[in-house]
Amino acid sequence: MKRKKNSYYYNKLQNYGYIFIAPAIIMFFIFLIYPMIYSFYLSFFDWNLVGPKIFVGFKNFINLLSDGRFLNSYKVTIYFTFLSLLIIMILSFFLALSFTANIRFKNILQSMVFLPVICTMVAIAIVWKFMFQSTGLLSYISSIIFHVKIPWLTSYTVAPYSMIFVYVWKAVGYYMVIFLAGLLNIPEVYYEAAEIDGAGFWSKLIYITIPQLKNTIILAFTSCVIFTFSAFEQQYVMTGGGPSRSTEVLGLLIYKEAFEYNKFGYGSAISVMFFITLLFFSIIQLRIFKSET
Amino acid sequence: MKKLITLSTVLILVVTLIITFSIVGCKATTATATTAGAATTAGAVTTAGAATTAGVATQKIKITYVRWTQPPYDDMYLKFAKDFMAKNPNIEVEILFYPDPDAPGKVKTAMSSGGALDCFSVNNFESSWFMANNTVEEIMPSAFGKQSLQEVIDMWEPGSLKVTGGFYNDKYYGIPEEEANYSAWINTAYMKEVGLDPVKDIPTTWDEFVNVAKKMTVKKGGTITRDGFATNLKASVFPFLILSALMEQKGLDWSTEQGLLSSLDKPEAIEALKTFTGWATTDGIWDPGLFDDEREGFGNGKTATFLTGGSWYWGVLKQYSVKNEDVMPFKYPRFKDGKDIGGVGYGYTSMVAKQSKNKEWAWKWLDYMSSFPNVIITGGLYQPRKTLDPALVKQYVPNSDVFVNELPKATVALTSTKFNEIKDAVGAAIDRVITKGMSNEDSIKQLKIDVTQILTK
Repeated sequence: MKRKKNSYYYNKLQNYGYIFIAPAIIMFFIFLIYPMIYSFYLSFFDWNLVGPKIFVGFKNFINLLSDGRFLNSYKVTIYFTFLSLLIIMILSFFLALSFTANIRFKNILQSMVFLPVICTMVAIAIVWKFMFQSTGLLSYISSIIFHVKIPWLTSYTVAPYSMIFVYVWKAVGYYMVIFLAGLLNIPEVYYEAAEIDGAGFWSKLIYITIPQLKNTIILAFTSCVIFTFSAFEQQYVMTGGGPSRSTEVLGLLIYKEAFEYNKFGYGSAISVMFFITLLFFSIIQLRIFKSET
Repeated sequence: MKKLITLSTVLILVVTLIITFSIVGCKATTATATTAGAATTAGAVTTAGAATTAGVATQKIKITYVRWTQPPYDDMYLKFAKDFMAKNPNIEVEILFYPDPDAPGKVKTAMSSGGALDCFSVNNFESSWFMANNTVEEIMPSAFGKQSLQEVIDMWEPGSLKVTGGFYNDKYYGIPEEEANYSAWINTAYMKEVGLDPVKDIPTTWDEFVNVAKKMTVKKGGTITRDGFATNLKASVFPFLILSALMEQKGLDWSTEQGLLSSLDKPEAIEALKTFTGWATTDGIWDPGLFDDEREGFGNGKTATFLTGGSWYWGVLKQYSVKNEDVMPFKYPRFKDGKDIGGVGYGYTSMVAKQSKNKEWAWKWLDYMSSFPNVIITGGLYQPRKTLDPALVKQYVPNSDVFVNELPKATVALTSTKFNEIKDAVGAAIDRVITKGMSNEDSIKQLKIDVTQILTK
């Protein structure tokens, strides 16, 4: 009888919990799940927002495969993502490692590295755009100090790297904090034992730190891929996809196809490919970095 | 072991889904207007407000009108709305202002959702999309107090309804809101600075234009710090419109889709493109990396000339540091052996949405709004209504001969429901040559492939 009473009470408590999270779930469904499902549905249609939806089956996807602009955009996004990922992971990891040591002005330096994370990307993009102008700060520094005139945003070979530079500058603080949290969770006894056995910095790093950080690395890696792949505001503000579409990422192409060309079906098809790509990467990453928990 | 999924859990999930789909399935009514009231990049979204007579709770007819924001003209339109409401106490006019590039998108969204939208103004490049997709009403003569459509057409200068984009497939859907043509603008203070005469040395050909711009280009340590000429390479519409004028001056037809496509096989197309891209690549008068917006750049003295300003620019220039007395519009240069065609002629047309529940009042508002050409001209905006006093044009539009006289020779802009795609493709063609170093010939070939794909997809 008492067990039944407890079970009833527990179920009631659980249901109240669902009610409390219901508003958040509703918002999640409205702004994420429903649009995603609708996007999948739209990708099979030809629709310009005001006319009737015309069912075209897989035609949008077939056209995508022969669309040079989409393939270019895909390539640009992959390149931007993986190069940014590589730099961010290495830089944020070593920054986190540095900040575990007792260095002077640690808090101030940490705050400085983290500050760009809390600024909006649009504001950052506008400021950096001015700095990249041919009479901007960075151009001035490069011409005065290095005697080199760099077309930061007007060369199709340089512009992609300028974008990566800004993105890394903005994002590295976030991943530094993730790594920092992981590093602080590693028991000191492992390092003490290793020191007793005569292990140096690199040995401790390779045999203790990195293995202990495996789950943190998985988290950082996966989230970095997802966030970087979804880049849009930076390219929209700074370059509009140019020069010569060298910075036209998938997010920007989706926006143009849907909202400028009114091809919502085609834009949705690109979104579906975007989703499939991210899903594919996420599965691969999770398989490679199999969690031990 | 307790069950995670109980009947009540499932019920709660189902209820959540029902609420979700109910909310997203609802048609937005005032939601659109409210959202539109949020900050835009211009930050100046206002409404005319409701001018109700005190204590009278009458059933008001609300007219929602969407237009682009352009200080200092926004206040004029708000005043027109206030006066209209004072004359018609049962009418409430709400004007929603959006940045020019965003306004057509907002209108399309409102149309798609059935949101609050009765009438709107849009540029002639985008208007054909609305007419082709059957989203707007034909002109209603009775709302203008006229018996026939021809009487309404006769209220404006001949041909202006077509030029401003209110005509499609033999039908009239819009009335002129503004008519303009791009002219070339030059900073006369810079001309004097380099020893040029602002009267005698005004360029009449493209070769002269380059020579004059070269003299006014300032370089410091190999970097251009003041362009001789500039346009916004990132916003493809401006390079597209300048190139359209060059193409038409070369005798090519860029006013229709097929005309544009077939012109790409001709050597004149390469010559026109070469002229344009040469300003950045070989002539050294334009550094696209110096700044983006040429209207702002010219106004702040960072470029000596630009080619995308209409008579309205006089009003816009007041916001910037360069003084009105130091600038001058002049006729678009020509090719030595080219056609006598000027800068692009364009306009804005005002239309009534098919979804409007008060079409007659919407037309009446548009008629009222566009019946003040003598007020709008004080800001430099030219509205081709026949009641416009030519003396006021001369008074408020300095060098009005450049605008008014050139209007009949203006380049006819492309009319296409795929205007945005085509202009982006042309922008990319120009971009490829300037930033990627591609040859003009290869770029034209690629442009032909792109345009063919756009038109056949």
